[in-house]
Formats: sequence, structure tokens, C-alpha cells
Amino acid sequence: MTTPTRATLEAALKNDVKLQKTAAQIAKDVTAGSYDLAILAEELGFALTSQDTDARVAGTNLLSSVLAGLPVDILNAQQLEFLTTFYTDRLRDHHNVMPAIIEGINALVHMKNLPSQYVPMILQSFFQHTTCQSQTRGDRTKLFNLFQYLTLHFKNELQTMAGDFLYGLINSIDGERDPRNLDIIFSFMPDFIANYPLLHLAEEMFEIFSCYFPIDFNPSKQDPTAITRDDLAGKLTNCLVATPVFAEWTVVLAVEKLESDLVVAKLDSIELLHQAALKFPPDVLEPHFEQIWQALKAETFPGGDNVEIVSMALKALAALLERAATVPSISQNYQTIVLGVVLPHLTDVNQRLFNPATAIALVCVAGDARYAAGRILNSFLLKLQAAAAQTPGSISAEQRNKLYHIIAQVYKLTGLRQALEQLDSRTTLAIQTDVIATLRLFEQEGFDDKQLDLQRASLAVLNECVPVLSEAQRALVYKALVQLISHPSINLDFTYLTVQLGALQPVELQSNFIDICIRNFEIFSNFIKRKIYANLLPLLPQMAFTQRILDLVMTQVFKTTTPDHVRLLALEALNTLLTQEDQRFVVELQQNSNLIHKLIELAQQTSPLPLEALDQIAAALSHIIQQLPVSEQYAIVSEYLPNLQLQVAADLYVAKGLLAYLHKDISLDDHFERLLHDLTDLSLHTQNEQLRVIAHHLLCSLVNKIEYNQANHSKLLVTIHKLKTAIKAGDVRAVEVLAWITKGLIVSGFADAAEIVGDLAELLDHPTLSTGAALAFDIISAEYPELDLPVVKYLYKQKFFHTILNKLGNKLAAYCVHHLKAFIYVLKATPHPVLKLNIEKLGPLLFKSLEYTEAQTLCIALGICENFVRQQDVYFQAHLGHLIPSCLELSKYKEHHTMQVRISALQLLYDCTKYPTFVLLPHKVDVTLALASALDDPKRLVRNMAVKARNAWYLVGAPSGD
Amino acid sequence: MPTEIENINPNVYGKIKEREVTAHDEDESVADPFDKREIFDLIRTINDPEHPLTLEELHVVQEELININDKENDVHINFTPTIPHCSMATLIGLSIRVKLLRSLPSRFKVTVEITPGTHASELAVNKQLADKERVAAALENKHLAEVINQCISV
Repeated sequence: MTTPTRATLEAALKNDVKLQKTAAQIAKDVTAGSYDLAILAEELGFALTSQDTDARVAGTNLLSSVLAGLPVDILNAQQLEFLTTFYTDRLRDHHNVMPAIIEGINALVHMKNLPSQYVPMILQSFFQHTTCQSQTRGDRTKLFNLFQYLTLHFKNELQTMAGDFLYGLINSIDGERDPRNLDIIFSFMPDFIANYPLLHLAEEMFEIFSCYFPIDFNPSKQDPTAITRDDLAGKLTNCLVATPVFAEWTVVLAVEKLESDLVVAKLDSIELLHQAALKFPPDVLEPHFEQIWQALKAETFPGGDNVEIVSMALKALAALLERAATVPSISQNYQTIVLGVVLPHLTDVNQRLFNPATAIALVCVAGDARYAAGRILNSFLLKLQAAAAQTPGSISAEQRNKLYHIIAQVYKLTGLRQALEQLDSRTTLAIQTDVIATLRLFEQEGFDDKQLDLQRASLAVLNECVPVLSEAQRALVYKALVQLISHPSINLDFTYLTVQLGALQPVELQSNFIDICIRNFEIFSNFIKRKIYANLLPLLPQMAFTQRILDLVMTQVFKTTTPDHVRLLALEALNTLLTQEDQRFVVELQQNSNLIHKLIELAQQTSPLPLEALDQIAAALSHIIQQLPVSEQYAIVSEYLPNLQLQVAADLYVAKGLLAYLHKDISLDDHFERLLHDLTDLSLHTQNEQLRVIAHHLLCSLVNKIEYNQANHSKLLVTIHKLKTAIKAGDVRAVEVLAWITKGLIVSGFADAAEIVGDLAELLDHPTLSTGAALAFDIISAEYPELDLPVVKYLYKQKFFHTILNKLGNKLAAYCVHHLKAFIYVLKATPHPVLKLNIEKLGPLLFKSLEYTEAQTLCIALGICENFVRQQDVYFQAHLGHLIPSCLELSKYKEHHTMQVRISALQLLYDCTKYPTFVLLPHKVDVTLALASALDDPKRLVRNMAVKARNAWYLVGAPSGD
Repeated sequence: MPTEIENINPNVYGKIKEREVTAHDEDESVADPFDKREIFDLIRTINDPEHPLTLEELHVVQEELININDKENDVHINFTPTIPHCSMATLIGLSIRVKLLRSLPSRFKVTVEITPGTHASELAVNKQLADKERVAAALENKHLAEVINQCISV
């Protein structure tokens, strides 16, 4: 390329676009080595030394742009020296030239070969001749980025400048107001402050940050680089705690600002104290502790309404105490001060200050568990002992209850800090003795079974203090546990305690508790047996007890002499066991004892079992089957399924156990026709509703899982045809069966399902079957969590909804009763977003359905409306004039308005009050007057809801009611 | 609201448990008469004007101090200020009255009075609370209505 000449350069300097283009070209040429930068400088001389400011601006701009465009390693030290001298001289120039100079300097310092001794020179000259704050916003940003770069890369050189650089930097930052620039400053300064000695300027440095505290800033909504207030506040806090030198001033600042009435200021101050506690070493903060504590005390003791402030303040205090815990002398000093204030208030449960005092006491324990827990427990012990010395009852049960719960928390925290064993054993043992004595109160004559709160509280304490119970105390605990479990009417849950004891003292627990339970198992009542199962099963994972407990359950299940009601209990326990244990355990259990075979034998034994027991067996079978590998599932099904007579109840239940949760990849093609036929027959002919439900669920799940090949399809069609014939003959049961089959098909996305739905829709006009048909839609759309439908078509609910909307469309427009009812059932199961999309169409239908008299439909319709109203839906807002009178009518006590309807209607009216006041005000008088009658409803639950709704309506638009 | 709090560390008592829903409550055919507990549930959640606590927690209202006769449409409530010189007594009484006005059927005649012997100007306060005109007038006062609404909004 040609070297630039004065003529070309003059042309380039005419406007900005050309200038940038030329600069880019020159940078490219210099990089390519076409000519030296010196030539450019020489040719550009006319502009750089011109008398005219504008020419100088343009010239410098060009040069700086070229520099910015060059690679960082192309210029050598000599060239850079020359340029540095040039730019430092320029700093004296007119301030219009300054932006160009700043850009040039910025480019220069990034150059790799720049001799580092020039950096102080540049800075010195800069600080001497100009100030950062007189530049525009964009240039200041550049400068702060420049400072950030320099502090990171030229630490040694900058330190040689000593106070000059610090002073210059402080002057540059001082007075900065732009949040974007502040964001940069607050981001890099903490590192700088932490790494550079601040000399005599520490306080000045602190001052330039403290003046921003607490940050008050509202970002404009259009701001693309959205900086939030919280961002800035967080970063500023980091600056203020960047070095321990600041500690003295930071504490004063935080404490001073904490006195503010603004919540934000309070929160920021507390956060500052929190960060200070984390960053500053304890010995630095110690002289200021009294001051900090007084400030935090004002916020937490008793504390105001704002929960956030209280919890933040407690967090800050906790951090302070926790950091101090490493230095025992300081920690004890702190704890003495805090506990000195708090402990006296821990004695009276009924005082307002009791709760705040406990919160602070627990924070103390979290900080220095050994010291604080010791003192707190001691003071509780004195209280308890005083109570014991006087007449019993001088401390009420309620007080004791509260004390125990706090003692439990103290123990727990101490346990978490691994300091339980370090507590003074005289105190802990005495407390534990008191707790155990309280627990054993239930053994006394005339104990009220209903008042178990104290026993629960005692157990809560014992749960936490297991590791420090003495041997004698443990003996008492075992005694109490045996008494509890064999008590004929008390049912307390103490499984957590037994599990703890089992983990620490397996031998003792075995001989003192488990053995006694198992030895006498036969003679206990069912109530006690159930309790024993509930308490032993959680111990099962502990190796020491597994076999014994398993033996107990298995014997009870399979022993031929077990009475039916006892076996039922054992089967329930077996199911609990199967659900709580992991897959490995269940698979091993099946392999070791062939449990499935035994269970099926038990079900099919000659003397028939009651249906509840069969149901439990089915559930157990399902649990096991689900955990087995697919190949084994297949083997088991092919072994047992062919021999089952589904008309027999026991076999039907076994089939349920085997098939209900069978893996969907297992092909049932061989059995499909028989199952379909038998189950349909069963449902059409049996009188037993329970068996019909099982048959329906099996059918539904079966057609859902089956693969739709030609053979299966035709088998299915035969069955459906058979059902349709039965329907023509007027059989309501056939409608139900068809509905269940359709359900399975719809969920799996079967193509012909829509046709069957159409058939069902036609039945809605049928004189006798219309109610059944409406219920069929309920069956299809409702969710049954116990039903396993593994093949799920994506978005099938939405599809079904649209199918229905199309099929029923015309009839719905005419508001036919049965159609509307069927449709409401469908709406109940349709996802809310789909309803929302179609609300324009659905709204009139919903409002219409609120005029019908059938309770169930009304409840569903009200429920759907409530979902919309709760989200303050706009459509409903526009139609409140329609909705509110309907609800007021429904809230009245009338024949068809069941409790549920009245309560839902009132709930809806209550939810309406969340709409903006201006929409509600026109209705206010009407609603409050009309609701008066609901206040005298015969049912209390309705009245309660009416009170809630009416009071809320009174507050609409009332002073401070919002 | 006063700037100075008169009683800084009052006794605080526990709350009773939520009323359990019984089978009778769910049964449509059984009518539930109004009882003490129901009235107590209406007023126990009212906030104290001074503390962030409810009247129940301060034992200002207690279930034993409520008398109700559902058949004769009569409700009588005694409330106990925390200290004998409590200047908030009228305000508390007014809040109870307004809450019941909005929550009870109009067939009831409601009497709200200070528990005998617990307040210095017992008679004057009782008289004010019994005067319908004055209660109505109080609700017309914007500032008073604001404080009362704050106390009884849950």
C-alpha cells in the first residue's frame, strides 16, 4: 500500500467515518509491515501541531485509533517511549483533545513491550494536568477500566508511586454518580484495597465509598444493561469490608445507618455487619462488639414486625459469634455479654421477650456450642429444679412443653457442632432425668390419654440426647418405651428415638425392647401389634435387627394358624416394608424366599381370604414385580397367568398384583383375547362392585399397554362391538366398561378412540343411559393415581379436550343439561393453560353451569372458576357482574346447595376481593348486604367462610384495607 | 398511633389449637348452633393496636369471658386490658364490636364490656361501647376506621 501523504490524511480528517476507515487501513498496513509508524507520525505532524483545536482533535483521534487497531506486540520499546512522551505532553492540551488522548493512552498501556517505568510517568502527568471527573461519562468508563487494568498488571510500579497514585485514584473516583461506572469501580476496588497498602490515605479511601452507603438507586426500566440496586449494594459492601483497616469506620457507619427508618437501609446495614463479621478477624472487631451488639439488640430484642430484618440481624449475630469461636477468650467475652442480657428472660415462658430471647440464645449455641449450651441448659435446669422443689404444677405443662422444645433445639445444635460430649455431664444428666420422669408420667394412674404434648416434647429432647444418656437413664428409657408400646390406648410415634438407640446401642435395644416386643407379640391386641410393626419396621435397615424383624413379619403372614385380622395387619406391614426398602433388598428377598410364589399360594388357599387381605397381597405382588428385572417379570407372568380363573376373586386379585404394574415391554399378546373376554364378562355380570373396579382398572391398563398390531386390533374391535350390542340392549354397565377401555386408548393416543368418544356422546341423548354416559366422561378424564398407564401420548389431554369440544359443540351451544354435565367433567381434568386459551368459548358455558342444581357439577364448575379468579384472570374480571350474583345465589342455604357448594361459592367471593378495588367497588354494597344471610347458615364451616369473605369485602376500598 | 408504647413487656400466652373439624361439622343434616368457641375464634385473631400480637396472646379476650345464648340471640363479651390505665381500651373494644358487627348475623344483640375491676375508667368505656350512635360515628372517622381496619384485618 502507499504510504499516507499529507493530502490523503487531510482528506481523511474531514469526517469521522472516513477517519475511522483510514485508521483501520493504516493499522492494517503497519501490521503488515508496509511502513513504519514513524512515517505516519511525521506526515500527521501538520494536524498534531496545528493551531486549530479541531485539527488537533482529529489528528490525535486518528493516531489513537491506529494505535487501538494495532496488535499489542508490534511496537518496540523505543517506539513506545516516543509515543508515551508524546501523549504525556499532550495531556496539557485543550480539554477537547482529551477523549482522543485517553483512548491513545489506553491503547499504549495495553502494549506488550511498554517499559513498565513509563506507567507511573503517564499517571503522574495525567493526575497533574487533568481530572477524571471533568470528562464525559463514556471517557470516565474508559478511565476506570484503564485503572482496573493497571492495578492488575503493574502492581510494583504503582506501589513505587506510593501516595500519589492512591491520591489520584481517590480524586478520580470521588463524586462519581453514574451507576455503570460505579459498578466497575465497586467491582475492582475490593481487590485493590486488599492488595495495596493504603498508607495514610485509608480513611480518605473509606470515605469515598461510605458516602454511597446505603445505596439509593432506581434503575430506569428501559436500561439495556440493567444494573440493579441489590447488585450495587452487594458490591459496595464488599468494598467497605475489603481490608481490616476499615473495621473501625465500617462498624460506626453500619450502626449509624441501622438507626434509619428505611427498611432497605436497615437491611443493607445489617448485611454490612454480617459481611464485616465474616471478613474481619475477631480481634479487630472485638473492641467494637459492644457497639454492634447494642445495635443488633435493638432490632431483635424484642424485634419489630419485619421478619426479614429480625432474621438477617440474627444471621449477622450468628456470623459474629461463629467467627469468634476460634478465639476462646473473645468468644467467651461476647457470649457473656449476650447471654447476660438474654438469660434472665428465658425464665418466664409467658413474657413477650421470651421468644426473641430464645432465638438469640440459639444463635449463641450455634456460635460457641460448648460454652453457650452449658450456660443455657444450666439456667433451664435451675428452673426445672425449682419447679420440682415446690409443689408440682408450679410450672405449667404448657411452660414445660415450651422449655423442652427449646432444650431439644439446644441439644440438636450442640450435636451438630460435635460438642455434646463436652457439655458438663452433671447438668445434662439432671435435665435428662427430669425429661425421662416427665415422659413416664403416662404410667401413673388417672393419666389423661389425650394430653400427650408433654410426652411428645420429652421424646423430642430424648431424640437429640441419645449419645449422652447414661446407662441408668437408658434403662429407664427402654422401660418407658416398652410401657408405651404395650399401652392399650396411647399411640405415640417414637421411631426416631428407637432408630437412634439402635444405631448406638444395638445390643441393649435388642434385649430390652425388640425381644420383649417379639416374645409377647401373640398376646398383644391388634392396636398394639400395629404399633409394634410401625416401630420395628424403621429399624429394618440396621443389620443387627434385619433378620429378626423379617422373621416376625413372615411368620405372621404365612403361618396357617394366624387369624385373618392378624394376618391383615402383617400383610399391611409387609407392604410398608416393601415400599420403604430399596430395590436391592426387595429383589434379594424375592430370590431368597420366593415371596411371590408364597403369596400366590396364600391367596389361593382353600379357605378363602377376606377381600382386604387379598387386596394387600395384590399390592405386595405389584411392589415386588415392579422391582424385578424385565426378564424375571416375564417368567413369573407366563408361569402363573395361564392358570388363573378370573371369575374367582382370589385369582382376580392375583392377576391384579401381577399385571397392574407390569413393565410395558412385556408382550401379553398370547393372553390378550382371554383377558379381554374374561374381564369384560366379569364386569358385566358380577354383583360385587369391588371386583368390577379391579376388572375395569385391569382392562384400562391392559389396552393402554398392548401393542396395536392387526391381531390385537381385531380382538379389541370384537370386544367393543360386543359392548355396543349390550348398550343397545340398555345395559348401563356396558357403558362403564366401554368408558374404561376408551380411557386406556385415549391416553395411549389410539386412532379410533375419537370414534368411540363420539358414540358415547350420542348416548347423552339416550332416555335411560344419559346419566351413565355423562359419568363415562368423568371416568375418561379423571386422574387415577393408582392406575398404571405407561403409554402416554404427548398432550393427550389437550387433544381429548378438542375432540370433545368438536363432538359436543352444537349441543353445548344449546346448553343441553347432560352434555354440559359431561363437558364439565372433561373440563375438570383439562390443564388450566388449555382452558385459558379457550376461555372466550368456555366462559358462557361455565356461567350457565352455575345455574344448574346438581351439586357435583356445581362444585367442579366453581373450582374451575376459582382457579381463574385466583390468578386474577382478565376475562373473569370483565364478567364479575355475572359471576358475583351467581355466587351470592349459590351461597344461600337451599335444598340443592350442599355445604361444599356453599363453601366454594363463598371462597370464590373471597378470592374476588383480590381484584383491583375499582372493579369491586360497584358490587361492594350488594355483596356485603347479601352475605349477611350466609352468616346465619346452619353449618359452622359455611359460616366461617362467610365471615372470611364478608370481612374481606368490607375492607375493599376502606381506609388502609388494602 | 401513639409514639410511646405504654406496656413494653406484657405477658404473652399461647394460642389455642385450631378448632378440629368433627364428623358433625361435615354432616349436612346436623345444624351447628353458635357457641363460645365460635365467637372466640372470631375475635381472638384481632391484632393489638400496640404490639404485633393478637388479643388472644395477650389474654385481652378469653373464651371463659364470653357468654352466648343462641336461642335468645344474645352475645355478651368481657375483655381485659393488659394494664388498668390502658388508653387503648376503647379502641380494642371498638375493634371487637366492629368485627362482630361484620361477622355475626344481625339477630344477635351484642354487648362488649370491660371485665369488671380491670380498668380505671371502666364505666365510661362501657358506656361509649354501648352507644350505637357513637360506634357508627367512630367508623365515619377516617383515621379511626383506618386503625380499626388494621386491627381486624387478618
